[in-house]
Amino acid sequence: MKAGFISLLAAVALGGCGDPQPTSPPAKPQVAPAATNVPARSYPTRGVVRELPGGDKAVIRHEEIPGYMPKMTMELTVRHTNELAGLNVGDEITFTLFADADTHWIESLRRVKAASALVPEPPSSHQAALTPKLRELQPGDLMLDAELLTETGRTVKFTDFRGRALAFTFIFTRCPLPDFCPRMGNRFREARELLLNRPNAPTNWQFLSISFDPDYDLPPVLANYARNYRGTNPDRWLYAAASTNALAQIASPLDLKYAREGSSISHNLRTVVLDSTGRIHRQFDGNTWKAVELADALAQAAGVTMPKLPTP
Amino acid sequence: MTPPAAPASRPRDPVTREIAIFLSVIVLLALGMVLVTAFLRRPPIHVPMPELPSAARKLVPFSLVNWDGRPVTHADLQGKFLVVSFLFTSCSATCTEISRRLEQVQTATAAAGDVQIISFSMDPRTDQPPVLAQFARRWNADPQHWFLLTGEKAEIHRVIEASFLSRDPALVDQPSAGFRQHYAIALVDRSGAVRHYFNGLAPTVSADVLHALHELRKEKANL
Repeated sequence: MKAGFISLLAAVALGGCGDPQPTSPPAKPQVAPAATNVPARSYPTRGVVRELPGGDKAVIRHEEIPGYMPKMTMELTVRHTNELAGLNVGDEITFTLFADADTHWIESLRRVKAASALVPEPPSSHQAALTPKLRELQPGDLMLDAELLTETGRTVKFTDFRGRALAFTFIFTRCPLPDFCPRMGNRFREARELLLNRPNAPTNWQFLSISFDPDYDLPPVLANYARNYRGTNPDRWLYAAASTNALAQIASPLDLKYAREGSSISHNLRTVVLDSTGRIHRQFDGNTWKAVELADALAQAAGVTMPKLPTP
Repeated sequence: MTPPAAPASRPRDPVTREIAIFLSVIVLLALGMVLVTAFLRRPPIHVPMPELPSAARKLVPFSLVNWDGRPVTHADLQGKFLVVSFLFTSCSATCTEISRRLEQVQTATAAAGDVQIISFSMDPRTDQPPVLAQFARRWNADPQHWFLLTGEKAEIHRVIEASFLSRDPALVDQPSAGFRQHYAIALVDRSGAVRHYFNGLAPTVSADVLHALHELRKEKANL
């Protein structure tokens, strides 16, 4: 308690008398990077303040930064925290993003439009505002279409798999927890093994592992990662990445949840089987399902394990 | 005579000053003591949670399912103090931290029998009873004392929103389903009124919750 009181006094004293200059890591250039030898690149951009969590952070929904980042909402580090003074959630701002090999920061924050004029923030805690734009999909519903970037750099859509039963799940290659993404990889490997070795099994099926991390999981990264689970046989198992926009379209309908936490992503697990006409056949939530259940669902969705009609 | 009055008053000057200094030191010391006492007697730390609802909140009626598969409704909680948290088992760090602290609260309140711990899942499709059971066992949850609840997504989200947390519609696709301050621990009194919110990640939170419970027990309405 007393120590707390003393440190409180110390904090007050420091706060009162300290240098008002914001603290920043000494390694970073203090002036515009162009004037230093650190090869940071600068990107003038524009966005809306979504959250001001305190400290030197600001959560900003920014516009596309050509050549660097798609339109997205990110927590950014503000170099000069005095530039945050007077900013409110909802303000439209311009700023310059600086990025070098291992860090980023933003400077020159300027409000161009005040909050109320721009963002019609729906009142919180009102059901109307929360009604999802897209309802959750049930078995029998048609899957929404979205474009993905494959491990070979091609663009592929969900509808491209029509005619085959499709099992897809969501992962990211930097996912560290063995019972999350790696478990999805292992279940897919086992299920594919079961289907390949099952006598009279259908052949019109496909596995698709989709990354939530399109900026990091570029095609070569995915192709490399795929080998951990697929070995040298890529037969009917594709890896692809979903763009932020594609994810935003399909997440709600699938009850897929994800949030960036630094270089990691906090997420739940959703594995979906579509039948050969593109309709939801079955959804496996979480990580407790078994490979044989997935293989059976896929075989069924491919339409072949249906009892054959007696020949007249 | 009168002339010495001036010299006579001169020696009194330093004395007056001494008294004045003495008095001001006393006053300053007293003031300091008051401040220190006020600081030491301050209520448990409430980390600012600016977006928490300002209006008084009450636990709304509900019908959900516990991790042991049994149905639980608000009626099962009557007459108890509630220590409430929010979780999704796919969570990497925060839920673990908060659950560790709730385990301490469970241990400390086991004998009293007047406290019910409740964790609402924000991701109920993932957190089906067997999944919650696995999570509950990690924290030695007693199925009677610590409910980890799941159910229909719309129902459980309604209960969380109507009773405890506001929601950001822009973030509903996050694992926290858009609930703000979902790392909070809420304390509900015996009448069902939400009385305190604590930062569930604060290292002292279990002690703060126990202290607040102790204070609530003293209130007449809660006797």
